Amino acid sequence: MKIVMFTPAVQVSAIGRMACLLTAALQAAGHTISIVRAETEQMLHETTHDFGAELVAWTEVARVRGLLAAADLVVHQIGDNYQLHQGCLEWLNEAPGIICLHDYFVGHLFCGWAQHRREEACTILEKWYGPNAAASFFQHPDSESFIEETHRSAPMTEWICAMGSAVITHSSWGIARVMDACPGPVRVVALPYSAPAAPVRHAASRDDMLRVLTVGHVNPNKRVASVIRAIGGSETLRAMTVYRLVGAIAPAVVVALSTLARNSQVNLLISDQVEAPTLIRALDEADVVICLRLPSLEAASASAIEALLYGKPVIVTDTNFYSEIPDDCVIKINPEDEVGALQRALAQLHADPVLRATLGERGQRWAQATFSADKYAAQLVAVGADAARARPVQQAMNALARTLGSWGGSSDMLGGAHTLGPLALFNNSNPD
Amino acid sequence: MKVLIVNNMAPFVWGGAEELAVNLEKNIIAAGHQAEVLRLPFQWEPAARIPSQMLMVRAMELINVDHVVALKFPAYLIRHPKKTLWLLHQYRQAYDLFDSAHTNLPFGAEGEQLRNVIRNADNESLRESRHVFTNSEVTRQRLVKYNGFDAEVLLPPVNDPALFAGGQMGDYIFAGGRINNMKRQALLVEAMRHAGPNTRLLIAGPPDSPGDAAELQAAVERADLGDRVRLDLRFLPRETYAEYVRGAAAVAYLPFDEDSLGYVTMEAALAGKALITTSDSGGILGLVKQHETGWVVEPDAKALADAMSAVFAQPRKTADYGQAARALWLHLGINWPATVERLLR
Repeated sequence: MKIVMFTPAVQVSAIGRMACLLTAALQAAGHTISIVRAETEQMLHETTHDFGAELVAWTEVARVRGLLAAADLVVHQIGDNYQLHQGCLEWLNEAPGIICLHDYFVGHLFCGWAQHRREEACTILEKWYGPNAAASFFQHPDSESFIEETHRSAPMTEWICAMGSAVITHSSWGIARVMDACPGPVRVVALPYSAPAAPVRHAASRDDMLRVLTVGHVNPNKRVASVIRAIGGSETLRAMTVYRLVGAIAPAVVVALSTLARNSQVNLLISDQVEAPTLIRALDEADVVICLRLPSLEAASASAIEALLYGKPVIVTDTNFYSEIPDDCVIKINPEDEVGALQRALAQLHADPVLRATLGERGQRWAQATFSADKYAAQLVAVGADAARARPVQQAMNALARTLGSWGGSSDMLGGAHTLGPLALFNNSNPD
Repeated sequence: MKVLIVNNMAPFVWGGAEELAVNLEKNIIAAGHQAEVLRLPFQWEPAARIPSQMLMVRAMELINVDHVVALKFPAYLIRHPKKTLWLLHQYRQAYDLFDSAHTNLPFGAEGEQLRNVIRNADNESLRESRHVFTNSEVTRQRLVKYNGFDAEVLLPPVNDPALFAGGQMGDYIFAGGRINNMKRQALLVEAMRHAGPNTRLLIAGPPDSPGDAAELQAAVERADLGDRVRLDLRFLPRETYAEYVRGAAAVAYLPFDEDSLGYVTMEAALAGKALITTSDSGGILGLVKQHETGWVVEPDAKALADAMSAVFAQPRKTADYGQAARALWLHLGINWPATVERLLR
C-alpha cells in the first residue's frame, strides 16, 4: 500500500518522533511511505528525524499532488501547534484522510489557522459551539486564560475531526466529540513511542538524594509550582530532593519558579530545551518522573510513556489519559489534593527504593506491551480499509446535504433527529 | 412506451387520488403502452419528518422507464429526464394554508425554513418537468401565485362512466366520499334538523378514523334523526356506491376549499343529479352553479336545510338541475383517451 503521511518532521516534534516510529513499522510491514512535512515554511530548513523515507515539503504543491495521485491511504498527524501542523490544514480539504489526533484540545492550532481567516473561523465556531463561543474565542489576554476558558466549551476537536475520513486517537476520555464530528470510523489505539538507546539504571541514585524530573514545555498545566510546594513542605524532601526541569521555558517563568523554589528552599535545576542525548541522560539519571497535567488536554502523553518505557517510577494526575493507565503502573495524584498527595508519594518513593524499582519495572513491562508501533501500523491500515468502506455512505450523506442545502435547509435540519433518524443508513457510518 | 405513474401512499388509506392513479394506469395500457404505479409512502406528521421523506424520494433512481407521470407531493420530486407533473396536490400547509395559519408546520423560524424547503423543492421539480398540468383551475391559480409557474388545467375524467347511467330519481339526498371534518358531513346532519319532514339523507363512505364515524353516529342520535338519516360508513364496493348515486334525488358534497371538481360531483353530474354544495367548497363550484345545476349556499345549517328541502319541494326543478349538470359535464369533454394523449405528449 502507498501511504502519504502529513506530519511534522523536525526533531523538536514529539509527534514527528512518533511518526518516524510508525513509518518504520509500516515499511517493515511492506508498505511504501512518503512523508509530507507539515511544519510552517520557516521551519522547513530545520533538521528532521530520520524517517528513512521520501520527504517532501507541503509547499511543494506539484510533488505533493503527484504523491497523492498514487496514494492508497492519506494520513494526517494532528496536534495543537499551528507551527508544526500548518501543512496538514492546508491540504486537508484537498486530501482528506485518516487523522491521527494527538490532542483533544486544538484551540491553538485553530487560532493559528484563523489568523487570516477570522470571518470563516467565527462561522466555524458558531456552527459547532454557538454564537457566544464565536464572540469570545479570540478575546482572551493570554494562553492560560484561553485554555481555561475554552478547553471545555470550544476545544475545536469537532472542527478538525469533521475534516478527516477517519480518526485514530490515543485514549478514550475525549472520544465523544470525535464521534460527533467525524463522518467515518473512529478508533482508539495506543500511541507508539520508544525509549531510544539508553541503559536503564533503576537505582540511579548513588547517594540518598532523590532526583525528580519533569520533561516538556514548562506551562502552568504541568503543575511545576505544585511540585515545588510539595517538596518545600517536607523537611526531608527539601533536604533530599533535586527537582529538574527539562524543556522550553519562558524567562518570566524561570524567574517565578526560581523565586518560589528559593523561598521554599527547594533545590531546582532548570535546563531549558535540550538536545536528544541530554534528554536521554536526564531521564536515565532520574529516580522519579513527574507528569502532572491540569487541565489535561492530550490524547496521550509522550513524556509519560517515554518515562515508563525507561522503567522510571512515574507520578501522574488522576485525570483523562493518565487515569486510563493501570493503577499499579504509576502513582496517580488526586488533583483536588494535589500538593498533599504529591508530597506523600514523593516521601514514600524516597523512603523505599524497592518500591521505585518495582513500580518502574511494572510500568515498563506494560508500556512495552502497549505502546507498540507495529500494532499502531496494523490498526492504521485496518482503519484505512474501514474508511474506504464508509466512503459511499459519506458521499450519499454529502449528496443529500447538498440537495437539502439547495432547497434552503440548514445543516441543523439535516442533522436533526427527525431527518437523520429516518435516513437510518447513516447510523452505521461509525462501524466501531 | 414504459410509463411509470408515481403517487404517494398513506398505508390503508384509499381515496380519489389512488383511484385516479389506478385508472390512469389502466387507460395508458388501453392506449397501447406499458404502465405501472409506484406508490411512495408519505407521512406528514410530525412535519419535521417531511424533509427526510423528500430526500429519500429525491435520492431514488428510476431505470427502465421512458416517461414518468407524477401526481402528488413529495412523490413528484422523483428525478427523471422525461417527467410530466399532473398536480393533484402540493403540500398546501406550505402554501395557502400556511398563510391562513391552518398548517401543521411549526410556528416561527423552524416552520419558515420547512416552508421554504418545500417550496424550493417544488420549484426545482417544476423546472425540470417537461409538462405541468393541474387537476383544477384552483390548483393552477395557486401554482401561479406561490410558485410563479403556469400550467394547463387537465381535469380528471370519471373512471367508470358506464356505472352512472340509467338511474331514477329516488327519495334521498346522497352524500358520498371519505368521512372526515374537512368534508363536513356533520353539517349535513345538523341541516337535517331544520329541513322539511320528507327530506331524507344517505351518508355513505369510508371514515378516515373510528372517531370520525363515532362523531357522525352520535350527531344523528342526538338529533333523533335515525328515521331520516341513514349512515353506511365503510369502504363501499364501487357498484354499491354507483347504485347510491343513481338512486338519489340529489347529491350533496361540501368539502372545505377542495382543489378539484371532486369525483363525487363529477359522477353525480354524469348521473344527471342535481348538486348541492357550499360557497367555500373551492373547485366543486366548477360544476355546481346556483339555480342552474343545483344549489350553492353558505356553509350554514339553515341555508343548507333550505336547499335540501327544495330538492323535494320542487322535484321538476331538481330534475332539470340534474340534466343541466350532466350537460355541463359532457360539455367539458373530459375523457381518458384525450387525457392520456395530453399527458404523454
